[in-house]
Formats: sequence, structure tokens, C-alpha cells
Amino acid sequence: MKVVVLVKDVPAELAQYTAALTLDRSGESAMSGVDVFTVGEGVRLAAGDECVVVTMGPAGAIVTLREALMLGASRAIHVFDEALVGSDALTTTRILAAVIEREAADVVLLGRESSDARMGTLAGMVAEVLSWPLLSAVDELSIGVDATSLSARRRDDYGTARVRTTLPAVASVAEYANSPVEVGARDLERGLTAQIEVLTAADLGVSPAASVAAVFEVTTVERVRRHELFTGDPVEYLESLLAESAAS
Amino acid sequence: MTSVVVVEQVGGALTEASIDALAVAAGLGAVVAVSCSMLSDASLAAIGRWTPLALHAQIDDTAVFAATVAVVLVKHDADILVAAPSAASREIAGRLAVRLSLPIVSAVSAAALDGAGLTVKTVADGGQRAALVQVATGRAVLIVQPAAVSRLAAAPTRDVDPGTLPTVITRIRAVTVESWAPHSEAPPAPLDSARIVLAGGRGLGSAERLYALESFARSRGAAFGSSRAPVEAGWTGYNTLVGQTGATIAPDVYVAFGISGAPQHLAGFRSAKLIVAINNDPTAPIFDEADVVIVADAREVVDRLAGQILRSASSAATQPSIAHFTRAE
Repeated sequence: MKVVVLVKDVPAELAQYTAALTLDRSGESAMSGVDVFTVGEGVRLAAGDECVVVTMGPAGAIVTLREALMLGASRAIHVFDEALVGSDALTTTRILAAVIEREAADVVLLGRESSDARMGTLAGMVAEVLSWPLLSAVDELSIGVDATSLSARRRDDYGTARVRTTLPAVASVAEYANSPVEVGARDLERGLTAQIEVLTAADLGVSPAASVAAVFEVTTVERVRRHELFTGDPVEYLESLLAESAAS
Repeated sequence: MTSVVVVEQVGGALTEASIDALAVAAGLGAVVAVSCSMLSDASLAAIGRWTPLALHAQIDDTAVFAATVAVVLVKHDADILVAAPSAASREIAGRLAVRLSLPIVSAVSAAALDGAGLTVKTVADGGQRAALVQVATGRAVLIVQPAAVSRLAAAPTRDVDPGTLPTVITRIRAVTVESWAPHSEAPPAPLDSARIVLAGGRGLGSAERLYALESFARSRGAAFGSSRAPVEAGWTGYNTLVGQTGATIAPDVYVAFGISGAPQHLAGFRSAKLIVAINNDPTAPIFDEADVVIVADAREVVDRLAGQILRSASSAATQPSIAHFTRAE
């Protein structure tokens, strides 16, 4: 099963903005929170076949690709192109879809949402560009015995569903889909030394478009906390707080 | 300006996030509510507070529903789609953005139309920042941030006579829902939209006590949340996780029981209106974020809440000791 896993490199600390109110990506970065589980699922589903990790991002995004290689991915592709800085979500989607088509993937996995933007919409966009079905926010992924279908579990606030579709397909993976594995010495070395393929927008035949939605003001929400020390009976206080809030 | 709003029902009632989506759209002009399940009378009454226009049909496949919503947008000459942040709605938002070449703005708390087009206010960085986004074309997909939306404009309800969604076919292969089971117990208050959240951390000491807190929260109609440590210890499910990789919430009241306050967790509830923290360590970082500081053993507090101890004069001896505490500057 040929699996492509889309990973995202995000700022390691609270995002900073440039003077032009775009995200400042010059600081330290790390792999987006849920992606460690996504890569784990990708390696497992590939079952010996290739699991290729792909990211589009600044030069520093290479640390995320190396981490994915350490977690067992077979190859890494970095879409890195100055022309793509500030491009819109549709351009990002077209770039990633072009890589997926080039790799002739059977299964495409990505995180349910990134830990910085938290939009959770890329999976639907990629699936639509490819005209593929999507299993969203799932865990317990498995390939059918005849290798033509993908099944998974989706849990939300209300219940648990079992969902199934035919391949090729996209799935967005939920947190804790698996237990992260310990990285062995061999994977560590391979992750640090493996060749990473670099592609540009032109290589993929995509012309970047600028976003029509632009951030024009960012304000810090100042919440002044009272730090009031309560010395009475906590249970009594909580009971009255709950009663008061329920009534309002 | 017309907006189409994707509304969702659970157990025959509109979800809170769907009402938030209606509230955001109602401020922009005419609204058409669309649903992929037949709307109940209760849902129609709730929709009627915002718009008299609703379309529904039973459509089980999300990709087919997305294609249907795209047709509704074009038919009604609508420029804006508003949706809740559920997994299905995010898929619809993504598919529509591609189909109609629309930008997506998420974590929306308010939107307005002005001379410069569409101006959208969003919640950024776990509520630590607010960002204003301008969409010059005035056409966009908006995903609301639950509980951050002001619903002041709600009017008395009007009659809604729902129409039927058009039948649309796509070439995308189907996703089959093979089974669905509600959670075994009464549904907990959804974390995303709850007004009161009671959350437990490592300081509660055991899975049993964390569960006792969850049961107590459920009995009071409050949502239950957790910091990362109990989730990693397997004491509770990931769907209760509040923080950087879990839910980002903005309830009226957030009570933290035995949570030390790692930055990743703080990012998840910083927008709460009132934060109450209970911890026996007076130097716990969570106290820096709290409105009400209670230095006490959270385990005892949970045991007493869960035990529903009848309070009497003699119960004073069982009260946790409250240390005198001065905040370190």
C-alpha cells in the first residue's frame, strides 16, 4: 500500500507576526502535534511498501521531515519555493495534490488539524481536488483484506461511527490514533542523513496565487485575572458557582 | 448579501455551534439554513429566530452534501457559507472552497460587511489574540468559533416552512457509515460549546477520581475536560483534552482541579471568562492565570463534591485546610 503522509511544520512557540502581519517563520519550528500519530499510521498502513512524507514550508521545515523519517517514513519530499510564500490555501492544496498524483498514492493521511492554524479544512480541500472520498477525524484505520477499501472509527462528542470507503482515499487522523514508538538508533541515523527531495511550484506545474483574505490587524486579548485568594470552603463555593451559572 | 449556513442536529436539536453559525450569518443579511438530515420542529423553531428560509433532505454522504450546498449557494446567489467546526462541516468547507474558489476563514467570532468588503473577526492563538481579516472579494467560507459568538440579535421565532434540497450527484466514491452508536451514558455537555467546564489533572491522583469529577460534571450539565497528563496516563479519552493539541474553549467558567498549568494546557482555555484553580501547590503556574485561587487538595474537593456529603455543623472537620497564601510577585 503506497501511503503519502502530509505533515506540517509549525512555530515551536506562540506565533509571532511580521510587520506585514504574515506569520514570522524565522524562529524555531516543530512538527504539528497530531502529525506524530499520522506518520505512525502511515508507516503501519504502508506495511512494508513506501510511506512518503511531504511538506510545503520554509527552509526550517526540514526538521519536521527528518523527524518523520526517524518515525519510520521511507522518503521525504520538501516543497520549498520563495514564490510560494504567502500563497493561499487553494495553492497549497494544488501543490500537495500534484505531489500525491506524482507519487501515485493509494492512501493519503494528514492530521485532523494543525496545532497552529487549527483550521482542519485541508483534508476536505485535498480530497476535492483529487475527487477522492475522505474519512475525517478518524483513528483505528485499517485496509480491507482485498486491499481495495479503507475502514476507520470516528469518535465525536456524541457517539462513535464506523466508516468505510474505497481506495484511493484521504483520511484525516485524530490524536492518539496510536502509541508513539521509540526511535531506534538505525532510524535516528537514517532520519538525520537521508536525502530529502526538494521540489518547486514549477516542478509541479502549479502557478501560485496570492490569498484574497488578508490579516490587517492583530490585537492581544488582555484579560486581567483577579488572582483573588479564596479561603472559605471550596465545595460550598463551587456549589454556589454552579448554581449561579446554571441560572444565568 | 445572502449567506448559506450549514446547520447540524443531534438528537433532534440544533447543536450550539450551529446556532453560533446562524448568529454570525444573520449579521450579514439574508440567511438560508441547510441541513443534511430532516429538521425537527424544535430545530425549525430555533432556526426561525434567525431566518425563515431552510432547506433539508436526508443526505448521508458528506461529499454529496458538499456538492449540494455548492448548488444552493449558486442558486441563491449567496457569497458566504457559514459552518460549525465539526468534522463533517470542515470537510464541507474544504470541498466548497475548492469547488467555488473561496477563501476559508476559521475561528470566526463576528463578521461584518463594509466598503472594503467582508471584515471577519477571528480568535487566534488559543484566544490570546484577536485578528481582523479582510476579504476584499466579499466571498468566503467562514467557520465559527463556538462560544465566542455574540447571539444578542436573536429575535422572536418566525414560522419556517422548510424546502427540499436539490438532488445532486458527484463522481466522488461514497463513504459508508457502517454503524453509529451514541456514547453509552447520557451525552456529556460538548466541550466546545459548554458554558461551564470542570477539568482534572495529574493532581487528582487516579483514574477513579478523574471519573468521579466527570460524573459530577455530567450530573450538573457541565462539560468535563482534562489536561494532557491524565490522557497520556490512559485515565481518560483524548476527546476530553483541553490544550494546544486538544480543544480550545472559551466557557463562562473554567474550574481546574489539580492541574499545574503547563503552557500547552493554558492555551486551551485562556479565553474563559472566569478561571477558578484548585491546587495544593501555591506556586503552581495555573494560579497566574486564575481569577479565583484556591490552595487546597483537589482530591479532597472532588471526593466531597462527588460524595454529595450532607453538610452539617460536624462536617467542618472534613473540610480541606486552606493555607494562607500570598501571590509571589
